[in-house]
Amino acid sequence: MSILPLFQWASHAPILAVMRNSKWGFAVVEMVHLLALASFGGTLLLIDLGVLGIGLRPRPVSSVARGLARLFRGSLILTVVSGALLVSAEAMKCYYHPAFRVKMLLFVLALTFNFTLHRKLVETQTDATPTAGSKVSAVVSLALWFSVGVAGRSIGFL
Amino acid sequence: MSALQICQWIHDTSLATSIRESDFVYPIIETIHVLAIALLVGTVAIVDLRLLGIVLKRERVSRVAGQVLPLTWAGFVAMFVSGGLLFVAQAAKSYANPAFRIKMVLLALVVLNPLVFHSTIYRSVGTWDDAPAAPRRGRLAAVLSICLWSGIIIAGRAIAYY
Repeated sequence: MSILPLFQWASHAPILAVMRNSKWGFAVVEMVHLLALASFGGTLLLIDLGVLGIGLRPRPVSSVARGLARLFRGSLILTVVSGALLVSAEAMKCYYHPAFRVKMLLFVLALTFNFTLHRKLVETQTDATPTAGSKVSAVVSLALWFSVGVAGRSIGFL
Repeated sequence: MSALQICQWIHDTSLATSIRESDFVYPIIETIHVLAIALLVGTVAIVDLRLLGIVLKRERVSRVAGQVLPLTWAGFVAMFVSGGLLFVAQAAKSYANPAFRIKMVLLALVVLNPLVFHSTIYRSVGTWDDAPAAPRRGRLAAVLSICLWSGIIIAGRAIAYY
């Protein structure tokens, strides 16, 4: 199964016409994407850097992660929804864009890693000092999300 | 010398010209600037949301605020330096850009907010440190901060549209 038809649909769908035809439609969604990204990035940094002992020092890690879980999920959802709308404005261009493809690959990797191994390690951590395993996990998580950001920014430059 | 002339002079310096004309330097600085948004505004937002009683309600306000601060400063330095270089590269163009002017006004206001907050409401933090949400004036400062920073991001993004 190919996802090409999905991109073809997006580039013709009447419901998405405002994204394609209006300059401010795109601009407004882009601003929302940035705002969501700021709150997502901030939450992610606090959780992962907390595991590494920088910033919100864990006491235990799981309480910080739980306290921020809703903000993390909420801003992630807003980032994905606004991002999908941005893609719909230039669906075919994105489909063939190398940086976009790399970004999506990294995004799926980062998301999968976060909601499987990483989350399990961070949220079950009940003692005050993080284990070596969860520290490695935090570094991998930060590296993955950082590369999603860099790949995303380069869509506009390549 | 008028502000416009100063901007024009900055615009014409060799540093500005080399940033503007390089294929890689400008995009790299811009990427750093966007990532710094997450570090600065993201961490500020978490302290604001704590004041409003939306996240980390069980953690002390002073603990959240104190421990997040070094990250916020790191983000501020990264954002200020990268933003400064982006401005230098396009100084004369930025000067006339309405979105840029709005952004500068909002930036000046957003700096005042923590200054006022820390010299007034935050002094009594000991009496409401464990409370789920800050007193009314603390919540007001938090809402102002979120609005101003959102405005700065929006205006910053709008610079490219003028």
